[in-house]
Amino acid sequence: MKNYSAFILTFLVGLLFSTCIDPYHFESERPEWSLGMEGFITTLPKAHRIRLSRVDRFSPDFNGLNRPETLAKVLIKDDLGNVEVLTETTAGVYLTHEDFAAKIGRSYNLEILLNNGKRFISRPEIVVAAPIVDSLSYRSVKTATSNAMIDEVGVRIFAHFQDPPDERNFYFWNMQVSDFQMIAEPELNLNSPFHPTCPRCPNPLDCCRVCYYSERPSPPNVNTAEDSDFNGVYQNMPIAYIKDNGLRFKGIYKAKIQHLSVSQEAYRHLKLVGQQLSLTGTVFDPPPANIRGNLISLDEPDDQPLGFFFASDEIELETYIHPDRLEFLFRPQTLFPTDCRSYVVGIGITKPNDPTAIPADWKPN
Amino acid sequence: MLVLSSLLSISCEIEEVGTLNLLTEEIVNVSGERAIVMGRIVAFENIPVEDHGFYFAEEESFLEPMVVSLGATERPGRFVGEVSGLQLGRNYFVKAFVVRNGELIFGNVLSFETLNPSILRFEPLVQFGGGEITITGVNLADDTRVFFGDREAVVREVIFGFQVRVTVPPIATSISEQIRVVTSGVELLVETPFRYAVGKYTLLEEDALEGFSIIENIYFQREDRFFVGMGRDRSNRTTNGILGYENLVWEYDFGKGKWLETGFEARMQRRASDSHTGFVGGGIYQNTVSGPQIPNDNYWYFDGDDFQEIPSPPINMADGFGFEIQGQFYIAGGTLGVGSQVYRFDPATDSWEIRPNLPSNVDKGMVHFVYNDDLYWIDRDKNLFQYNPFTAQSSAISIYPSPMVEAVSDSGGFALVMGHKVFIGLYNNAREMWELDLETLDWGRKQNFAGDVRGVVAGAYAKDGLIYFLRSFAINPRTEFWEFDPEAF
Repeated sequence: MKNYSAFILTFLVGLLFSTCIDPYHFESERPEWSLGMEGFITTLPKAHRIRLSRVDRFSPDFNGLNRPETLAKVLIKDDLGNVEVLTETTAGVYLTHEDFAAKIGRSYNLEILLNNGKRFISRPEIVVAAPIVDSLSYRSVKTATSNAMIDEVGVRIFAHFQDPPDERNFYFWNMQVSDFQMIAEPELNLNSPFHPTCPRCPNPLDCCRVCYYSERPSPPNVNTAEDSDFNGVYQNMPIAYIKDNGLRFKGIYKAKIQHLSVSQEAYRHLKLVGQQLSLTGTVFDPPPANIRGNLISLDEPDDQPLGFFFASDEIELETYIHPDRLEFLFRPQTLFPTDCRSYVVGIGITKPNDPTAIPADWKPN
Repeated sequence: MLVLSSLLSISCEIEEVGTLNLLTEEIVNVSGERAIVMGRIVAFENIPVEDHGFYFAEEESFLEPMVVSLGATERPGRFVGEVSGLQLGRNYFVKAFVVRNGELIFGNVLSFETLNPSILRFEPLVQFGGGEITITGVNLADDTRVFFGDREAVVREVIFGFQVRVTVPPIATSISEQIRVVTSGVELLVETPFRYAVGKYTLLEEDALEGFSIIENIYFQREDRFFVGMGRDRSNRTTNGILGYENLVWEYDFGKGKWLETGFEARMQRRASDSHTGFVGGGIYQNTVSGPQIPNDNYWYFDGDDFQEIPSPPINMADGFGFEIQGQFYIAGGTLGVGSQVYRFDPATDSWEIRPNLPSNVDKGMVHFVYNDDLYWIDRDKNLFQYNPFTAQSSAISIYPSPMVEAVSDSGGFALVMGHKVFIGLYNNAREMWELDLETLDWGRKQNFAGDVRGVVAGAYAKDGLIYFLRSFAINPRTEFWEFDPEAF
């Protein structure tokens, strides 16, 4: 009995000690205010977009509010002294005029005057011509995943073009919002689980099987290349990859891509961004990096605004991906057992008024 | 032992301290009088310096430098300097400097050339004295001055070196002035002359049509003869219960300075189509205020002597466009049936034929005119359309500059072609008058209408470079006859 009591006493004292954890107080270092800039201009006449925001913390626990930087004056200047004043259309989003286009051979600066009086200017970016892309091709690819039973399936798009000899070229392919046929199975429609008389009973619908929607292709890879290894050689270059989620490639998919020439500095910046975006958490990942942009604070040299302003020659590319021309697709495909018009589009994508109407520029070959 | 001692000595190697490298790194931006330059202090530790910055000079010897001092700093790294007040179009040299322990240390030398200013455009091309124009150019300095002829204008603002907001001085002796811009001592002449918004309105008759406030009428001009008629009175005055005046057509007698009735009697027509050249017809028939509105299919052509009846088209049309191209009469749109249909009457064959529809619905409330055998009209969204009646091709080519208020000031008005210009304006309840150059598609403002604003244009004519128009009013019902001299001031 005495040994038993000693055991209990020891346990209680141990328990007491184990709860005596001294909290370690520290103050989380909140990052100072800093400017974030996203945007670039190209040689195509359109309303080019510059987005300004206040950078904030980004972590698994808390994502900053990433508040827009409003009421700023944003200018694009070329080396001849021409000035384009951008107009703020929504909070923090500044647009050029509809007919504004960069010119090949000219260099451009982005100048920003914030509402609080701070001034920023980007380092000059020269527009170099992008080589013409002869053609596009695509093929389905399989990638092993951590699940040995399921491979990732996607479509890789290739550009065929002649890299110009005797000059260094840097490329960036930017995936645009793309259109696709949403194939649904309205004949498999069921009543709702709350149906008063027959919940989840078959209730085939007559309409609609095919709709047309837009989406931002995923994954959001940054596709870049530089020609130090293939200068002057005809290229068959992978420029985009779209993952098959079981729904995308049930019908025809119209992929839209910007083919852009960029400067060496912009290429380096985009490549670093791409590396950081593709971190998977393995030991082979590159270390996290603070990617410097090309904006300079004219008032406080120690300010480190984020973002890289660049100017590119742009060629619009688009290709229709036909599922019957793909070697394989993701199986099983995702069923959409109701009217295709009830599909919910992603954030930032406008749902068409009549999703069954074929878009005016939909011309699959 | 030897190896170990060697390793020890290698690992104990200390980087050189207390030295720095200074770079004049990059010319970030150059304009006419301003430059932004970036430099860098390269060092392996914090090195306090008493001052750092840039030297700018026009000679590489830097004998008379402009110094941009950024003050003391302790940290190596990038620094940015901005200089203003440079001369336009000159070559400059720049080098970074630091002052350390009283010693002046320079970086490498870069050179750049400041840009020359130029003027690209100004808008609006026509403005009232006291109004504002914006001159757009490149590399304009803050000391920019603007002259209209010899008179200096007030510069309100120089915006980011590319725009100058200027108050136009009052009109002096000429309606056109050459603009000169002087920036940093450089004088620039603007090629396109500035024009004042001028025009003079003269009331010729206060009550031109015997107390009749005419609306829904037709009007046309044959050479120098003006005609108006076939409408209704705003206040629906009747004669023995019959709506009066709908049958009448008046002609203006310049000798007597009066509008006189012609002998022509129409068939109770109003809201008819009208080419303004002598072809009229269609519309509706209504003989009492509460009576039914019956489509009218009577069409006429005034040949200079008499009204000749022409065949009826195969459709009924009211409030439709009427226009004449190459001697053929077209009617289009209207408020009965399809509002975009087009029919053409060919006097040679004395017959009507259907033509391709217009791209959108039109009606007589929209200003329309013919120039170089193309039809032009302004829709209620202010778009100016050009339409080729032979190829049926159309496009929106410009936008009417004045605002329109829906159902208040988006109808009525007139368009009169004089040479390669067309005068457009005086919409219902509006004062604005514009001149459009049909070759350049530049709009020029004219003086606002001087009379009552709440009126409706009932006729418009051109003679000897002057514009004449009838405007009817609901308050104190009357129809006034005005002369407008577009160049007078």
